[in-house]
Amino acid sequence: MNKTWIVAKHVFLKNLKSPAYYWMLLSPFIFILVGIGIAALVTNSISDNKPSLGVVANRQQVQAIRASLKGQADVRRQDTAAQARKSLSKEHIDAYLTVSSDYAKATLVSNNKSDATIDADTVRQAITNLKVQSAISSLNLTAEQVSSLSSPAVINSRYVSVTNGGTSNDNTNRGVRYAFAQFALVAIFIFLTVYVQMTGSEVGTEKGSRILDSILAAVPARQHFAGKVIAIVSLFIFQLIFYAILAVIAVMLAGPFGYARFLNLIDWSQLGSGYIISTSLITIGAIVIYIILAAVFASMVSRQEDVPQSTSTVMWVAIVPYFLGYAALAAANTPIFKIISFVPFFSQSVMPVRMSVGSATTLDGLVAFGLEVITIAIMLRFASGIYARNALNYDDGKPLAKLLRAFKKRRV
Amino acid sequence: MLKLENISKTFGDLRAVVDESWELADGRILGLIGQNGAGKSTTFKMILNFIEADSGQITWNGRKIDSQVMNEIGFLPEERGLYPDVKIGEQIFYFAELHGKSRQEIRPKMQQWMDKFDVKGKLTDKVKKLSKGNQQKVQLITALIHEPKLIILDEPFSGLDPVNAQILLDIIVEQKKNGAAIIYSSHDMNNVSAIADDVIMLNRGHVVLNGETGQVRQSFGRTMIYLESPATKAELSAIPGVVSVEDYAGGLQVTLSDPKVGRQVFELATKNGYITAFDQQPPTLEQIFKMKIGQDAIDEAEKEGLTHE
Repeated sequence: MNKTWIVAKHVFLKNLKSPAYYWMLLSPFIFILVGIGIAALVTNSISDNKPSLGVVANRQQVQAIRASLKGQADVRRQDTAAQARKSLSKEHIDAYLTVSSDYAKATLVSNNKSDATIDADTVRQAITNLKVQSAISSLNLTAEQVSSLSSPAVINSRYVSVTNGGTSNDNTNRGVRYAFAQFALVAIFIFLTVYVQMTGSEVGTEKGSRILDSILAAVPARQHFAGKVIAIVSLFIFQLIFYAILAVIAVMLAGPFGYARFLNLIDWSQLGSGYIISTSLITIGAIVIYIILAAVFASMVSRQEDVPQSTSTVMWVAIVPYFLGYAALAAANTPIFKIISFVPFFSQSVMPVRMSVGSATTLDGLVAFGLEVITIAIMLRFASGIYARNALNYDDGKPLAKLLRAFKKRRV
Repeated sequence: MLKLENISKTFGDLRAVVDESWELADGRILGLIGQNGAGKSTTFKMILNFIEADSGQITWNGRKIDSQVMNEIGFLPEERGLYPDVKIGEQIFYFAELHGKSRQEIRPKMQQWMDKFDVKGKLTDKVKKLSKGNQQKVQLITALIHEPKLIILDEPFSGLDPVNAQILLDIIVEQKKNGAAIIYSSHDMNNVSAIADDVIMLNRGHVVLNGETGQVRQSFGRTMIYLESPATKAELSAIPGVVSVEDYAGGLQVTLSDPKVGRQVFELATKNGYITAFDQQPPTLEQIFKMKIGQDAIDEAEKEGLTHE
């Protein structure tokens, strides 16, 4: 077996046998479950803690308000404003509302120290609706007329693709893609963080513990570098496959366990295979690029304790496209984002966003991936040279300064 | 055969190795000695391709050191290191595979090597469970189990107690009998004298001694006498040609300017008859080391900070 593959196999299996790797694989699900649990607890505590609202109005009005605020407040009729004030001061109610007979005027008084607070906007909306209904009913209209007046306007929205002066229909559901793009932005950044740190730790620990001297007596540094990069990329692909298998299992169990209705809330077909494939490829390309960068920086540290410093430099580079991705969500068609979406190091955040809002096509995504592949080929050549030069260099010095020095030297 | 021809290496203003040339044949042991910063480790790094020589060339059996040649090299670095969380057996497999051996070839030998080095641990133990000395033995196994033809050991005895140092000496001799060419550096000259067929002494990047260990010592003449007799220091020092007389191991160490003066020392020492010890020998490697390099040179090198190992 080629020495590069021996190194790759060793690094891959070493991590695969490590409990830390499995924690990394499973921790997102654990945190999601914990989050759902906390959210459910909070929701329950809120629903059990509805604010009590005293209403000073006639019986019909109180009934109408109770119906409007059903589930949001426990409405109790108060005979007079004085009685309501008294109930409030004794903390029998959390707020009281006085309403004129035509709903034109209303006053909401709330206890600012109450555990359960009532939302003034919700009350305002409810009273406004009741006011409109009261006005309509005074006009003696038919039921259809009342329904027509009170129902919201219907607005149909669709996108068209403008090409060569003509237009064609674009049936993509942008909502699903948009949500996916936002999810992808966060997911890609988390993946980058995890694998940049893993790379830094792999390289820095070997160097810091001096085991690298023994290894490089058996395998040339360039081959060792390539093996490490292959192993870490393989770990990432393994993670993707693991998640894909979990997703398939989750879909298969949706029927028997009765959560299919939640999955069916989203029209997954709207994502499109082209979108998913190109986004996945761009993400893998970006991970490889940042792994190479992290390996180069980590090779420049002399001590294990300096590894976090070297990886933090790479993370600062990675955080720029992360924020650019959010900016692109609002202005995907501007020339600057069109250009950036093709630039390696940045494309993983901007291109999926542009594709999600229909500003870029699947072909654009594949072109961005192609540019990443070219960048990886160039980086591998230069980075393995820098790695070979620095792997056994234990001089003190900042990684960035060493990198600049390495570039200045003729034979990199 | 390992051949170094006119190797030089500088780091900025520092001349780490200057025009170094020597050869090492198969089945021989070479002791590389020199003070800290003499250029020993730089020499090793150039042989192993860790750094490139500025000039000259290094060949193994007429071939430059490439990935294939690396399979025939076993190296123990001065700074030891293994993966603490990986099992001993897995680490040995990994290094053997990196040297072109299959697991099937290595598996039957692993326990033998563990027993040979008397490692206190099992192949399934993680390295971090072992003591420092036993970790060092495991690292030696990783350097030797693939039966290298060229073995480079940088300060292999450091950190080993006398019992384990003897085990290592025996293993080095065994490898020599198997035909391996072995180079090792050591600060302990006794270890070098004990097994090295050849010796090279480096001083500030220069080769100052190069030859068979016995011949190198003999070339200095039998100028050292160990003596146990009633003769006093003053009596001995009065003999012309006696350079110094010092207490040593319960007797006296007499240094001569000329081996012939030994006869006068013997006559003085035995004037009353039987004595328990009179041993006239060439200087030991340690004494030669001190003579050649000299305390002044060591002090100067440390002050200038211009040497590099």
